[in-house]
Amino acid sequence: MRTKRLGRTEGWAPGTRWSVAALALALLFVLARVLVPDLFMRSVGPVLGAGGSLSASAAGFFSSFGDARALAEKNAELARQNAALALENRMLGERLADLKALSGTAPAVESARGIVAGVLARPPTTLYDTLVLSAGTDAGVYPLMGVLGAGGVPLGTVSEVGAHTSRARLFSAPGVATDAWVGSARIPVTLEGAGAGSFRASVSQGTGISEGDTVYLPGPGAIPMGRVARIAGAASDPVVRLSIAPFINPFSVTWVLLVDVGTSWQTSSTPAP
Amino acid sequence: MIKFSPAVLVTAALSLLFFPWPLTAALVALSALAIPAAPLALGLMADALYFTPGLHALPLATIVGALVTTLALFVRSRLSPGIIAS
Repeated sequence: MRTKRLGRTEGWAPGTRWSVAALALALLFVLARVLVPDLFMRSVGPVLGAGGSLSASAAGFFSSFGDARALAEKNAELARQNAALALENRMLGERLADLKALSGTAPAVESARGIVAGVLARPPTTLYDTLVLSAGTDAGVYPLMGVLGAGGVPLGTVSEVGAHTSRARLFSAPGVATDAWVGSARIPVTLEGAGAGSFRASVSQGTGISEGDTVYLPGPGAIPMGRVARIAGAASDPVVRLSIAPFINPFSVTWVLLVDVGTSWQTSSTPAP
Repeated sequence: MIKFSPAVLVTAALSLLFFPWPLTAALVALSALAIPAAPLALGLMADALYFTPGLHALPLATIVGALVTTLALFVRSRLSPGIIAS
């Protein structure tokens, strides 16, 4: 659209010029992603990483304006909890060692050895509940590896691998269904990704599931990944809806561990049509 | 507002890399009246960055961007050219 038609100046209107420039840049992005994906991600990766660092710095800066006394009290409380958890962890380790000695069997779950990858981009910056990771085939990453957060909490699976970066799909991505268990009775449920790290599930009334129950994913044993945050439904309903919150908030995850999980996760997760 | 649309568009493009996507969407919507192709362009860029073929059925950012661009063009066609140019 030339402005001459509008009876104004010669040449492209500013809006049209900016439109053409924006579309040209966008097409350049798309072509680079399609034709030279490794080079594209290698170019964009440092910028995404800088964005993450900037966000962390901003969070630190704004948190410094908080009440110093409240922060000190919170710090002391966390230190107490840390000491208690360390003690409990040691006790459980000793109990496990005793059980292994009694049964004479190898441990069912070996400590996870994998590849540590930094998170370049995460929700809500990324669409589609995906993580952009800083490790690719050069670090030994391959598709369908399991993605674990701090403490070995399952987050998703590697879906696309480049030379230096990779993408991981979170279990919480909308349309993804994942088989899981709930509670100490290991009641089987199908988790439906609800986006932003959360899940939904439906179970029959009277299964004995209560708020706060742990949700496990199958793997080597049962791996805790979240808890039941809310149960919705009247006592007369045949089915109740569970809202499940993950143990790790994907909005704040800064690194992940990529491990080989065989076929235990990817076969139970399918994207929505 | 129209005068600052290019600056808003550049901010939206940077926001695509640094900030939550709802902020990007809001900035693009602000610049859409003056730069109608902005939503489509930013949608393409978002999908170039974050879309994973095979995992997601549709490149939603591009589709939504195209719809908003169409809407912006329709609104522009209905408004007086003098209003847009000023």
